[in-house]
Amino acid sequence: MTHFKGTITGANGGLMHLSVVGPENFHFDKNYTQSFNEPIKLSEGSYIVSMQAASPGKFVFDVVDGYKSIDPEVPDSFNKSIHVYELQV
Amino acid sequence: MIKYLNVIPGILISVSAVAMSQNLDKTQPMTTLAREIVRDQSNSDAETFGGYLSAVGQFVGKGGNTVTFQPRIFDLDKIFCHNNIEVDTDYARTAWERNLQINAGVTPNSKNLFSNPTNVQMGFTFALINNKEIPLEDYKSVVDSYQIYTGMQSYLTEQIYAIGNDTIKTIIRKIINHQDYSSLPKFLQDSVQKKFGHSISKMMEIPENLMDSLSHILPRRPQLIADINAIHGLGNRGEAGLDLKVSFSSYIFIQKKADVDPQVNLSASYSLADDITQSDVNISRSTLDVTAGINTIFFSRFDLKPGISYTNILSGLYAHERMISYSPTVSFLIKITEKLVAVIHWSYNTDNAASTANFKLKTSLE
Repeated sequence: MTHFKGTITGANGGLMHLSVVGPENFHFDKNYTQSFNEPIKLSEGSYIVSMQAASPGKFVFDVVDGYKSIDPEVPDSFNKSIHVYELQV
Repeated sequence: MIKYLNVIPGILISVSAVAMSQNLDKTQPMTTLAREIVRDQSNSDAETFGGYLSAVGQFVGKGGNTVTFQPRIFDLDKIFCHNNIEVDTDYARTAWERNLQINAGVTPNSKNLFSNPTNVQMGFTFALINNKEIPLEDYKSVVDSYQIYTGMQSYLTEQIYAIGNDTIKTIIRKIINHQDYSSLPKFLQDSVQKKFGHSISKMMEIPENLMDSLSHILPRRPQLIADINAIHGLGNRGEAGLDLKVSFSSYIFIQKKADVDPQVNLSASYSLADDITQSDVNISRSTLDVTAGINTIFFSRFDLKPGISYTNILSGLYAHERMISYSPTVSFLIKITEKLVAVIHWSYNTDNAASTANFKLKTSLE
């Protein structure tokens, strides 16, 4: 199980959206507010992960367990934008 | 003298309780966006009726000795009946709940805060025109726009995944992460343009544009408020009366937000009260107040609002009292945290050469 985690600090609400696309037509999409810890069962292969933080405030994104590599490295921090990651499971 | 008509110096602490639903459903982005829109309002706007720190309770400390509770029906509904209700839950139906506020208060005697109160107060405040609320059509627009934005993110993720060449995939990823959207390959630009009708750069600006337009314009719109408050003296102490008040407030420049921002408040009030200085005498008194202030925001955290207040006592003039008076006023508001605002309000009455001040803390228990 791969855990996707995110937290926005300094925003009252903090709006986020996670999108994961991978082999065998795997597509995961979900909205979150303030913080989240989403366990997703991923089969072996390459994935594209995009993380969006639409709110002002510092956003920290992390991926824990169940993967071989991720580029760029996590934990990653950004605000009010979308970051895209290449994930190897 | 009818004391309760005057500004009461003292300490005000108000508390708002807006429980946050942890449920994540399709309305969540709207709720969150709405909350952030109102959060971005200035400290001064937080003071308005239905501002983002809507008052559930207020306490006026020593000196004023008045304890008041001012929940909106919506806040009570949330606390006692439907704790999962959000501002966008059945938005149209709950409009009256958001626009109606109860004012209940008690004035303890000066020696003991908790017993033998001098008088009790009860009343209502109703927003006749509440343009500071997000109109339903704008609300729908917020949701639709955010859904389009997340739809584009999802689509982009799919498109990047579908690229066979790992080097190109990495380059595109890096371009997006550096927010240099105009450098993205043409096939990707065209694909997004065709599907969503806008360029990637334009689409990426959606959340910020949404926040900006609504958070800048909404607080500046006019608001018309009606108050009816009754006061009843207990025992042989205190005073009794009825206060009717209509207030209008608005920024002068509604469409743009500037660091220096003129704001106008007008109010007309009518009071019917027993004058305790002359037993069994009913005094009816009507006044017109006009306050104009210029709000200045410093470092997004401090508001300074100097102004001038004009008062015209149309009827019920007391002896030695002037019909027309002017009072300089200054309000200083500090956003201590996102959920805690402190307000210091000072005014000087040129009629009796008296200055009054109060300190207020407003917080949200979200």
